[in-house]
Amino acid sequence: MEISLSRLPKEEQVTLTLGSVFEQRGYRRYQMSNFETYDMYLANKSFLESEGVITFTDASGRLMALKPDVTMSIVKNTKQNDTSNKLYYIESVFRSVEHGSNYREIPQMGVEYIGAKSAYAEAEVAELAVRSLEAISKDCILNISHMGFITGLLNSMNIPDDLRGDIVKSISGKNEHGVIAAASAAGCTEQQVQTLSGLVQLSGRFKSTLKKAENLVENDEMKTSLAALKSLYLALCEAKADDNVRLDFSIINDLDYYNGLIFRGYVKGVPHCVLSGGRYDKLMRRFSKPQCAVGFALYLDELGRAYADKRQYDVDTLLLYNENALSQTVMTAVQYLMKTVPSVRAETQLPQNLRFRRLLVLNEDGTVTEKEVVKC
Amino acid sequence: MLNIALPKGRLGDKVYDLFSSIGYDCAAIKEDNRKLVFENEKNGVRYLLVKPSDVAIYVEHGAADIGVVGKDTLLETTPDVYELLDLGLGKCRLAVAAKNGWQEDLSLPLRVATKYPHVAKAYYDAQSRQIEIIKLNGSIELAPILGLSDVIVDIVETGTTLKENDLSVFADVVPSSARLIANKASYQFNANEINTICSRIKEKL
Repeated sequence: MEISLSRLPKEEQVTLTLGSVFEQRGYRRYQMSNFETYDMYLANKSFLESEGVITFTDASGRLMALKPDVTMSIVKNTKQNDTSNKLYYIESVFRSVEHGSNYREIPQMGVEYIGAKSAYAEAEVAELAVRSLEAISKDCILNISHMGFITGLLNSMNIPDDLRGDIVKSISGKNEHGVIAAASAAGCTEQQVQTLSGLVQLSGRFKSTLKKAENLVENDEMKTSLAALKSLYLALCEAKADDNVRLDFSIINDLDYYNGLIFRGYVKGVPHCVLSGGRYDKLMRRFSKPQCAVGFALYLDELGRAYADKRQYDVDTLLLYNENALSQTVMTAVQYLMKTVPSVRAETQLPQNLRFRRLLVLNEDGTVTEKEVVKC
Repeated sequence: MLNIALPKGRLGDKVYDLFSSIGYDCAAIKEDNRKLVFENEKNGVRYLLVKPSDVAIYVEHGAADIGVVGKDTLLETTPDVYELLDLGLGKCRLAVAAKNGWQEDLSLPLRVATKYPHVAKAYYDAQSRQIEIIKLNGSIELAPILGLSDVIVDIVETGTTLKENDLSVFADVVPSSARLIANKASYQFNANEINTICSRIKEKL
């Protein structure tokens, strides 16, 4: 039987489409339990998107958590000698919001490439990120940056670690005046302040932005990161996945967990980012794992609203039959109709609040008569 | 069509004049009526007049693409938005004020009345000072007069209200002014237009 994706809710369409895309590239499905011990999340709190973890005590008195994140569990369960593991997951994550007064279940999908060391590995995950956004909408944008560029720049300016926070926060808020204030407070020279505040504007089409960034290079760290971005872009062009890709140096993930490439994805109609990820070798080290890793997560919770079903009818054809009719007769009619119309619903009475395009009445002799639908 | 959330009131009027001077005029907004949405299809712009403290909420949730809001509100609610420009309008500061001649008793927790509980908490946390917050929604100046609190943390523009209520500024917390903010997703899809607005406004400032 052929399955029509278009009749499913958006979130399910995306999940099914991407599941097969990931499988096609040799990624295997990873399934996990809904519960983990709380200490793991506590120790790595700033890796989590939000702080609201929902906790409970289990029978033996251990504090447990409803998983707020999948990546960490995958990292934890990675074997030391695993050279390469390509995984994808379709899971729900749980968060408490508004200071614990509300709970949310967020459907999430993601890709984790454990052992991703090569330049191609990064390009492959970036391409899958583009495909993921495209599966939601053609109107999408994937912002890419490289953590090495910003850390390299801050290193070249000898800005101490504890003063970096405010500068980084302002850069990621595209807050030029904030960068100027924070950098001046950190004792930067005028030239350095100007360079840092210029970073805010450093976003847009990949090629031209990369060229502008090349003028800022101060050390090898920055040079290497731009070279990595360039090779990534060429690979994405090869896959014809470059159209919706932008370079944006204002995106910065947590410096304690991410290094290298980072992504942030948006689709039209959803007011916040729906995809985020990058290279998280530092998270792997925190769990004492020797491998490198790249991955991303896709948040599917707002898709239902943004791409609400605008169908005019709940069902194409409504077939009314007499309660006493032979079931065989009704079945024959239903089977016949299914071959010709997209959907059929058989009822003995007109259901309330059901929108249908056509009303058919099944006669005793097995024939059907079309009735005019009275619109109210 | 670009949706712009403006704070109702004096600041909103000033900001509208600024937008109108760079070519985003919408004459209907000047008419005296109770409408909240004003559109100029020709300019591709729609203004939404909302409560000043709600501007950031409209922008964060994407109901408005950009908006203008005081830094004081941004500090208090920390919405996930881009803060693109300091417009330099509506300049004021958040400050600690107390009754004239008030002396701080360091042996007791400080009672702080404020509309800005997060800002107040962060300010006193940084000094390791224990406080009790009394969240009020208006007429904050009353609190120390009636002994409801020791001090208030509130915005001070000229200081007239404080003076008339026999209060004075005890310490400055942080300066504030109007900021142009943008929804992070809308920005991606309207980057050119929003950047143009920013650079034109910059020329005017």
